[in-house]
Amino acid sequence: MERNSEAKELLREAIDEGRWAGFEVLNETERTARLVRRLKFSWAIPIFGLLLSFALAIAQVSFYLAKGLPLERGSLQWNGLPFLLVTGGYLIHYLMRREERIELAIGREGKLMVKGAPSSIVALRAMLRPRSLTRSIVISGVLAAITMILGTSQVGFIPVPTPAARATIMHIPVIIGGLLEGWPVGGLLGLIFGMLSFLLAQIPVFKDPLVAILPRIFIGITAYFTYRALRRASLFWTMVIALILALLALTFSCQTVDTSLPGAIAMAIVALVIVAALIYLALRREREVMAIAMAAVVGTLTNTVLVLTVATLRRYWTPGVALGIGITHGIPEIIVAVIIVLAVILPWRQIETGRGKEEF
Amino acid sequence: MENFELLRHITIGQYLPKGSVIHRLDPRTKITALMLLALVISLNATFTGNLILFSFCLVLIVTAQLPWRYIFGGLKPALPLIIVLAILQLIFYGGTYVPPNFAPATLFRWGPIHITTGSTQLVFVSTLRFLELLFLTSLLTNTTTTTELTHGIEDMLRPFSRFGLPGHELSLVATIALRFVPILALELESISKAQASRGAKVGGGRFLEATRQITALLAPLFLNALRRAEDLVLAMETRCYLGGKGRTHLIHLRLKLADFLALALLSIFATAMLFWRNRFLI
Repeated sequence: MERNSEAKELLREAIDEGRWAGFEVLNETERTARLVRRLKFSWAIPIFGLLLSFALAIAQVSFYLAKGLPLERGSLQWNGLPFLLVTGGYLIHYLMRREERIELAIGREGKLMVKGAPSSIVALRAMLRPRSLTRSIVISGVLAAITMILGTSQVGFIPVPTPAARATIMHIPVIIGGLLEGWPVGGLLGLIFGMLSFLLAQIPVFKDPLVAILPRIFIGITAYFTYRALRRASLFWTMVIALILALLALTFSCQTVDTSLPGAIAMAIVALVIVAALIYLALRREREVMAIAMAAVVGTLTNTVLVLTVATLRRYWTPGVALGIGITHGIPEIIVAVIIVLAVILPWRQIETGRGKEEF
Repeated sequence: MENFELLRHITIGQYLPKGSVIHRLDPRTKITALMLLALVISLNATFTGNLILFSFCLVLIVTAQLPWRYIFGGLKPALPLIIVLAILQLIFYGGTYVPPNFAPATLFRWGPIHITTGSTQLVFVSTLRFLELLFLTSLLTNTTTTTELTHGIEDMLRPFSRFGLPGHELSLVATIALRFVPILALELESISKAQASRGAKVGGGRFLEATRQITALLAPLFLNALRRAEDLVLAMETRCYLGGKGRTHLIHLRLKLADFLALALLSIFATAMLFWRNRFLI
């Protein structure tokens, strides 16, 4: 009897979690529920594209004003592009839309069965997984071991054509730990990464604990909170975040035009890609994927920005040099981090849940 | 095949049973010593100071009866990188780096390439520092069993438990990490062999290709590691592991005469090195 009510509660919880992921209840019986989600046309997207175009214009004008250059007809270029890209992409997406269904049922043994789209199962499973101290301890230990291996062997570095000659991937276990087990584990792993990087450092900057250890503690923490904030963000908030990110990146890229033109172009492209990916994932309601990817971006940025800021404050580098390192290292590291974090966390969550029909 | 033998090059985290004086010291003594020496090493930025510290590390390795080939074998994969970094530092840091104990003089200048006595010192010191710290960390883990290390760390963290620091849990994290280093290194080795036998290139390549290669190695490594972690969690939970609360120990660590002696000698050495840190002529 008790088991029956427990099972019902499980079904209830699963349905509620599905609503967060944008599903609506199609029909519901005692032991089963059918959820469906359809894409509705949203005017918010073209309006967002328009705002993005204005943002680009404002960034350009501020650039000309800051430089004291006269505003001419040719000063404003490529302003319509964000609007056209966003609206065009959205129209294509809307015309190719499909509806998604998942079915929930209580199995014979009182366990919940799910059939349908894998990413929604991921969301459900993530919520229902029990937290345990033992798991936190063991996963921190294992990820710390990976950090050590990456640090002491040559696998942990990717050659990039810059003065320091390598992009690190040692912060990836930290991000993964934060995402899987919460901010305390993320902070601890960051501390371990920092201590390792302090112990194994070859350039004088990282022989300073303030540069090597302190900023690293925050990688896992910011990654975790980004993930948590974005997992349930609505389309509106996602677009607000995308707008802020795009504004930041565009202003930054306009400011760096003088220092390095390729750097500025790379920044602008990265900004556009991030915005496009955010909106695309938000539309497909792949909240998990979006949140994980953004957490990887934010975690990596925390590392790059904080380390460079502290190093500049401690006068190891001039702001110009730090900026150059930030662009040449930050971007490759972000790309690698997003790829690897997604390649690890998505299959991991699905191993726990399985594709298609699986009990959990 | 050289590329695949990762484990041979990872000297951190493996216990070598030798029974030397250093092996028999209390783990807490060794951890304190490591921290003290790391501090001294990070603060000394002179030629002489680092030479003294480096010879001190070599003496420690001899006392611990560790095989030279084993210790230096760990350096092999890092060697090209050390050399590249050293050359870059030598060439580009000349204009900006100011040594703490003498004014730099230009040795060679051509375009952006600027070699000074300061940058030669920087190269020398940073390479030696890297070696010293690597030797010391491998020395600690090569002469101390993981059980001893756990007890040592837990014991040293106990005073902080009053402020809510979970000493037992943290030391368990450290133990698991050290225990998993060789396992995961082997795992990485077999993954890279498996990828290579499927025709994937291992090593080399520029950014995009290197990224693809590394993803092909790291994604399975992480997933296997997490799977092993889940097994361990299951094993611990079936044995009713509940964390450090109310746990007692079979082994109680006690400091012996040798430990006090070692600590006293070390503090004298460290104080002297700290006092003289930027007062050597070169």
